[in-house]
Amino acid sequence: MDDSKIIELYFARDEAAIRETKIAYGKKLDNLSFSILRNIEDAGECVNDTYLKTWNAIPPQKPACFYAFISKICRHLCFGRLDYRNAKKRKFEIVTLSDELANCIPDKLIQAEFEDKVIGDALTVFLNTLSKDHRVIFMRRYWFCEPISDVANHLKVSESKVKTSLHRTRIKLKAYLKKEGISI
Amino acid sequence: MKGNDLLKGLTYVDDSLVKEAEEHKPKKSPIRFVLPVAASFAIIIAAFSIRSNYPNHLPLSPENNIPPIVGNESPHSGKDYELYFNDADSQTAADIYIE
Repeated sequence: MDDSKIIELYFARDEAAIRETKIAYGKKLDNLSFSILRNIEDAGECVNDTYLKTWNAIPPQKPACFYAFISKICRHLCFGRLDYRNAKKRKFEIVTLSDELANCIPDKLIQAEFEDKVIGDALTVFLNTLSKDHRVIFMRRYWFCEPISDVANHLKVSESKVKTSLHRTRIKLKAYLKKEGISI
Repeated sequence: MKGNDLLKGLTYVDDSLVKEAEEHKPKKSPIRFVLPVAASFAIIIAAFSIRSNYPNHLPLSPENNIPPIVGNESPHSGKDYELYFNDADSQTAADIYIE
């Protein structure tokens, strides 16, 4: 079913909206959730919570890009779950991704808090300066949390090319954050 | 700020970037187009080279009016094209000899 029709179902408060969302994007949300949490049960719960949050959010919100909207909700829920779960034990995959991006932070000694939204806006500006290929590689790796092999398979390029692209993008991101004064 | 904060902040990037990454299709390799074209050229060149190795199959023309050889008939049997070999008598050098 078309995204606009699914959104119409939400506005009509028709529960078929959730079923249609699951049919259209359930698998993608499952993959995204599992990529972050690495746990089927937690991933399933987060996806179910995503449907509920979407049901509560639409209306009044009317997303222009439906999948981006629900996947953001899912991602947000997953990181919330991850924070809760990792209070005692940190998971390897996300630690790896975090450490990779931590290298982009120019000054680790200075501590400051940045709102996620501010960081998101800065990253949006930065990502728009990249070429499309580098941007897609970066997003698939760090937004969708896909393994490098999956990114390479999806884009039909070699893993070394993906690694090189990510490395160069991280260097550029570090310089960009430093230039923007986001040095923590 | 930690790397994890960047990962979380990435959640709030513009929707268009998420959509672009999600819907991105890999470029089709140009080899897909080059291979059939190269194979077609190879076939055409092969066909012409084979054809050029069989001149008898060429159509008759003012430049190429030799009829094809059929059966055991000698190409020199026709009177119109009679050839004379070793006709040394008509040459000056034929009178030169060593006693």
